[in-house]
Amino acid sequence: MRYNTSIQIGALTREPLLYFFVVGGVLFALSAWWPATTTERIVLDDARVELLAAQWHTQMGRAPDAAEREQLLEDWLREEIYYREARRLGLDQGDIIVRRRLVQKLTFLNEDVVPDRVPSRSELMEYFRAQADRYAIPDRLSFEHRFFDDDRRTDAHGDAERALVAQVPEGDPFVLPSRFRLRSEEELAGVFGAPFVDSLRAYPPDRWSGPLRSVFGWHVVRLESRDPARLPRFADVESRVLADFLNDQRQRANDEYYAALRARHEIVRP
Amino acid sequence: MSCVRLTTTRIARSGPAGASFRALMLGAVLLAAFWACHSVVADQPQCDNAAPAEKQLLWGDLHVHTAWSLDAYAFGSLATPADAYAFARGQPLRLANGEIVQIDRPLDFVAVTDHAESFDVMYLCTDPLYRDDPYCSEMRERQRNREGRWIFNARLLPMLVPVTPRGAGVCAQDDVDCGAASIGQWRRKQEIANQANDPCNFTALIGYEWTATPGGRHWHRNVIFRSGSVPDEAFDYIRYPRADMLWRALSEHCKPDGGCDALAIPHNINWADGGGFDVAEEDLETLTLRARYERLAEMHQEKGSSECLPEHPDTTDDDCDFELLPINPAHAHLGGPEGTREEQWARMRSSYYRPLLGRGLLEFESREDALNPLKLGAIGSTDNHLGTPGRVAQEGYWGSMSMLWSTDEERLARDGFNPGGLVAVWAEENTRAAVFDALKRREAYATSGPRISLRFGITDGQGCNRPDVDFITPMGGTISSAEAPSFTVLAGRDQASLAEVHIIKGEVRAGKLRETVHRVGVFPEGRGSVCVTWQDDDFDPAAPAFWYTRVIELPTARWSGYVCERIGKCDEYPDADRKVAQRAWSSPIWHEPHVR
Repeated sequence: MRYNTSIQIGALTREPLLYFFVVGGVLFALSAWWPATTTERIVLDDARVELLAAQWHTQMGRAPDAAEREQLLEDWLREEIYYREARRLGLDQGDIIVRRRLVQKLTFLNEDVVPDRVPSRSELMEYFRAQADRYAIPDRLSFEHRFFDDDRRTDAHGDAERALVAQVPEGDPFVLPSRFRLRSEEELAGVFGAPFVDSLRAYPPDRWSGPLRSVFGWHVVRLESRDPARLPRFADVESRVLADFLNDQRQRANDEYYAALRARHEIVRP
Repeated sequence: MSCVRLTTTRIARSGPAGASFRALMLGAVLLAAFWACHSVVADQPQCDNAAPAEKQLLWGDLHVHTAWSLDAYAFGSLATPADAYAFARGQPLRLANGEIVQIDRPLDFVAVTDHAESFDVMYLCTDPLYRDDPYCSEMRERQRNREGRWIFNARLLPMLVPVTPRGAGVCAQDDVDCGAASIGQWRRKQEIANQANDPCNFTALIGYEWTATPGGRHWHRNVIFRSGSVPDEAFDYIRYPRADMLWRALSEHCKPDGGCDALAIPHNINWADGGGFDVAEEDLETLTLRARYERLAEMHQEKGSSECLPEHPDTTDDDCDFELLPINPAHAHLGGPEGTREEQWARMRSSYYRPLLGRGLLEFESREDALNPLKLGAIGSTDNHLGTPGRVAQEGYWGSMSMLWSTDEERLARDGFNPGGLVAVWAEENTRAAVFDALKRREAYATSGPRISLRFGITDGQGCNRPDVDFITPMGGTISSAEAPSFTVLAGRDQASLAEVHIIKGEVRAGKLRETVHRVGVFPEGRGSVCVTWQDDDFDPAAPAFWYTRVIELPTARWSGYVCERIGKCDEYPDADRKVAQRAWSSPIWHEPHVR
């Protein structure tokens, strides 16, 4: 039977990790007081044989014949015997790869047995309000600018200052748009540089101001508006909130699982 | 949205009567959301952050893989498509090796383009029902053992490399319906993209990679959709083993009057070995489909640049010497440039970007119907397999995903990779429709990573003399002119200043292809902003032609230099700390004479 209706138990009983622990634990106990020369039993049951044959089938596209079956078993036996001997010699101890891998396996197992629970709408709205910071729309600036190019003018800064007097500046060709609307300060800083945005924010609205310097050269600017940070409407971000909720839920389940495990240990800090 | 419909798909034909709770829930949630979003019409213009009558410059990555691609999964990628979209918006991501990575400037748009050929395997083997299938459990086992190379060689290559591609081994089992599994995964992908899409702020495009790899040649295409209205099936290379089959399927199942439109973007054409563009053998119907879907090509990505390749065995051609990686390192045993025969080298060159533009002109010239089937605009992207779109900084990069677990020395020994590039578009606003339409009209360009701002087009004689440069025909457009056109290049720096502006021209005169590189601006000291107007005085009104521009930064440090410095071994790897002259490439403008 390939399928199990109960995935938790099914997965666990067929998870090699469990065998790893059980077999390993038994071996460890035995090796503590048995001399290494004692004969150990390895049981090659039908389930093992069938699993090996099935894996082979998937890879090769046909069932193994008798000789190939025998070889599969021999290979597996060799691996198993080496594995047991390696454990007996304690080679798994202090090996960071073995350690990490076991941890990974356990995490993977745990994530798979915790199903996603879909929240109700009111629950989701509550979550949204509690996490307001995550969805807030930041301060946004709208402005117009003209560019004065150091490389085209002998005194770009002076020309920009003189243009301000007239309040109808004409600048130089510039690759980016002359108007930016409702852009976050962070985004603008990524384009013009942080000092540019720091100055821009402080100018009086609706007046040509400056000159101020960007990574490109000199600009005069007319700040149109500063839109303060606000919270979006729930309906506009609902799908994002749901995704975050499910993620958090998964994270919380992992944390709880860890907390439960941890509670079973006494941590000693000398 | 209230249009919620609960549906589940049974993937296993003879599954258990009581499928697991999780599978049911997952299916229900995904499908409900899928149907809900399916009915939304994509065109909702008038974003409040769009300035009327001025296009914005938006930055993106249209070639990204996550753990949902079999190769990425094999080599240890953990990121889901949702993680990749979050990363693009500036969220940190933890890689399997413990590194926490982040980009300091978010992207404006992204398509997560996982390999469609492994949608079925990835769906099955991550479905709890299939946890114990030997095919899946072995794959997971190998993945956890960091045996990525085994999965790649034993699982992926046998699907994609034979002359006739074939489905994954697991699909041969009686009780497995890989078609349904593939559709299941495709729906999950759409759903995640729809959730990540945030009109006016962040565009998550739906897409996938069609991964034709006959004999190891990369004839790959990324399929990018305009809206949430997409075909029910991702047309992959196994079921649609020729590019024209892909285009035909798109034309049948993705109809613009149903709100659907698509682009197929060839990429990694430096590894195409000359293939994938057999325009001389195609009939008119096929060529028309090609021209309709293939409007862009990837100029630059992690596996090297594809603009042009020097002539064999010349490697000193400074026109075509940028981030070359002409030989797939996986095939290094075949020999590098020295081991490659001259005719093979010539074949490899023929599928690079500039030669393709030239082949398009020759085709146009020789055809009665005046069709140029290779009008390819330029984009850059990363092709990274770690689910980290737009992670193009040289500092912190250490090679392709297959080197996740490698030592720095191993990484330096294969330092031909690079972080990959970006694509920029000039669009009215940041929505799926506006970004897609800009790509489709080729008002798009490529960079090798930096955010160099760039406008290129035909201007009146005034060019840079007017503060408001008037681009009559912007990049991506076509003219038919009796007079010599004037071109203007307007560019702004990113972190390094701009050192050179080139205009590359190709034309067909008397049946012969000619290429010229014009160094129209040289600024050894570097500039923050450049405006250059150039008139083509050698213009022949009867000659079909193309022009594109290349804007080059002052050289800066390369990732391999940071790595060798960190481990103090720049002496042992003398080439590692070479500088890199990063750049932007515009989409071309074409001249198609009426009278010939």
